[in-house]
Amino acid sequence: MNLELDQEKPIFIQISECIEDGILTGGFPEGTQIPSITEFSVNYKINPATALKGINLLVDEGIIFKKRGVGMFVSEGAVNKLREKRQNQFYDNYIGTLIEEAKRLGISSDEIIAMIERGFIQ
Amino acid sequence: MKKMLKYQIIDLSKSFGVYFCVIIALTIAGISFSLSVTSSDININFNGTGFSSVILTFVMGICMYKEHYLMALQNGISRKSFYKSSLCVISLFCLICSIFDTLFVITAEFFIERFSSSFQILNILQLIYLDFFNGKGTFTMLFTNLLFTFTITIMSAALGLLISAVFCRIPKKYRTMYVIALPIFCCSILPMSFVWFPDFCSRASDVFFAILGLKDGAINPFIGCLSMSATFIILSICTYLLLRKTEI
Amino acid sequence: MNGIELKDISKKYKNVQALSHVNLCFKENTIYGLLGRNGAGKSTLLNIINNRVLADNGTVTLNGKTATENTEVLHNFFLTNEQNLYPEGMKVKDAFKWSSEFYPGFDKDYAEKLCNLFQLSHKKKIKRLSTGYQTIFRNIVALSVNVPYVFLDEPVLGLDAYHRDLFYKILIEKYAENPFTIVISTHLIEEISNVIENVIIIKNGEIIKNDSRDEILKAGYCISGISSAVDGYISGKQVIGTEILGGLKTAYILGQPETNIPDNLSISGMDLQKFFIQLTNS
Repeated sequence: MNLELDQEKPIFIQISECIEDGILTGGFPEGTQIPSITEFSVNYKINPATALKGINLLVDEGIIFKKRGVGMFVSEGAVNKLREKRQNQFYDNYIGTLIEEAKRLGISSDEIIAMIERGFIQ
Repeated sequence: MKKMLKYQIIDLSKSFGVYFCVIIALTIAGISFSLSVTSSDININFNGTGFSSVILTFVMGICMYKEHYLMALQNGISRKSFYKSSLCVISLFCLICSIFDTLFVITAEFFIERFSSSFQILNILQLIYLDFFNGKGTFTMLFTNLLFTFTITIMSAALGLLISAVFCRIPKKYRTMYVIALPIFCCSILPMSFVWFPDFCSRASDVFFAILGLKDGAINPFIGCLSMSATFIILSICTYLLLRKTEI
Repeated sequence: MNGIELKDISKKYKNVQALSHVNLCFKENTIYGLLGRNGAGKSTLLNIINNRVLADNGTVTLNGKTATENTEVLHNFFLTNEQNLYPEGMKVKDAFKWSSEFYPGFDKDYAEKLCNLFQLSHKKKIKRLSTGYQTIFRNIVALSVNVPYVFLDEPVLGLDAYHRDLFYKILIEKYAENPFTIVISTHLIEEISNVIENVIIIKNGEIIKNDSRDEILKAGYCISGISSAVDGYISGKQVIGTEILGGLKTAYILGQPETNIPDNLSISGMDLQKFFIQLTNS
């Protein structure tokens, strides 16, 4: 889990994305407990309210659920939910930026497709 | 205020404890020495603990600012609470000093002098106010001693407190001058003024002796006690006026 | 109103107006960052709240009760700054003992645990500690005292990187477990930027910004590119500062960026330190 935060995106979004990465890579398996708000805020050196905000985003999406008095757990089916969400966001997050930069550098769409195919082979 | 009181009492108890132990040790040393001496050419005199108590309480007043005031402000005690606590503590320790002094005199007069002719305790108070004590009983002497020591020690403590309060209020650049000028004034200029302005000073000293109860025909230590109490009140008020606005 | 309220506080030192008509509120259970350049008035403000300095005008109240010269209210506050007000010769453990006398909520076990973490020997005399360790000692007292409002004036002054990191982690852990109000005055803005919720910026004795950190960061952005392109973009906008490097220019703008940014310009967020520098340079 990357502990570097930048100032480009709101911190709480970066926190929720970090947790999502952890779930997708298997760091936080489905059904297991994730670290507490205190642990997140201490590790990232952020205000606990910010950590809570980030986690609540995931609670609202059904990725995480809270068990009173025990802690926070990864929901069943979270991995699939996240994959779907990220696939939907994939075009905006990556393709859009890719095409913008390509246009700036004058790279044609055929050249991009060739590059992508090369990338999958390597 | 109670917490500040506790702090100040415990802190001062250490210094006063050491002081009393030293006095007792010195006295015991003096007695043992005089008991082992057979020659009548050697005399040991103790003048009571009055003078040293005055010095001790004066130093207590001076140190109270640095040691206690700053600690008070660090721990959220208001200046008013600190002041009230300090006055209580000063009164308490001066009372202890005067009781100690009186007990010292009693012990000396009734026990030690019986056993050793070369060991004497002189009561300064009796010597100064000789005419007053003629014909007065032991109880009067002891009570007067207690009251007089108490008033002179609280006055000296208040003086010490005022001196350090002034020190803390004056701007930093004048502080060195103040620290040097004050002792020079008291020890050199004041005595020298008797030479430079003899008439004024003799009239001033007449007034001074009168308020101390040492005027011929009206020798009375209680007048002295009254004046010193009044001085204590004035000094305390001045200290409070300064303390109220002291910032750190 | 729940919390500390400062109304119209002013303070003048000889010819310098240290604070001028300051109006502020400190709510409970919030972390505040008090930012300002050297000599802006931060320490004076904290000293006035904690009754160490007396304001010329104005009032400081806690839930409506006056704090000035009021021991009962002042016991809800605790301030540490670079002044060492503990007596000459007092040892660390004695300071803990007396702190627990003056502040009944003081947690001695927690203070000792912190001493171990920071490797501070509590048998040492406070005045004999190095500058860094004196700061560590004061921070330990402030974190153990358990009062609702703790004021830290330069809490990482003289601390090495390891100790600074440790301090922030301990602070956050303490706050997460038992929230209380912390007001941190510091020059190391980047380090506390993610810890604080609200930002107060002082310039020349006046409060020029008092807002939540998120609002402040949303309130502005940076535009970089060729000078002519940047100039074209920024005309008519509220620019709080610019930087020029050769033919390239970066402008710091208040407000929301336009939806279509020209291709030859790049846009980025403004972090708190950049915002602070641009806002307070005269």
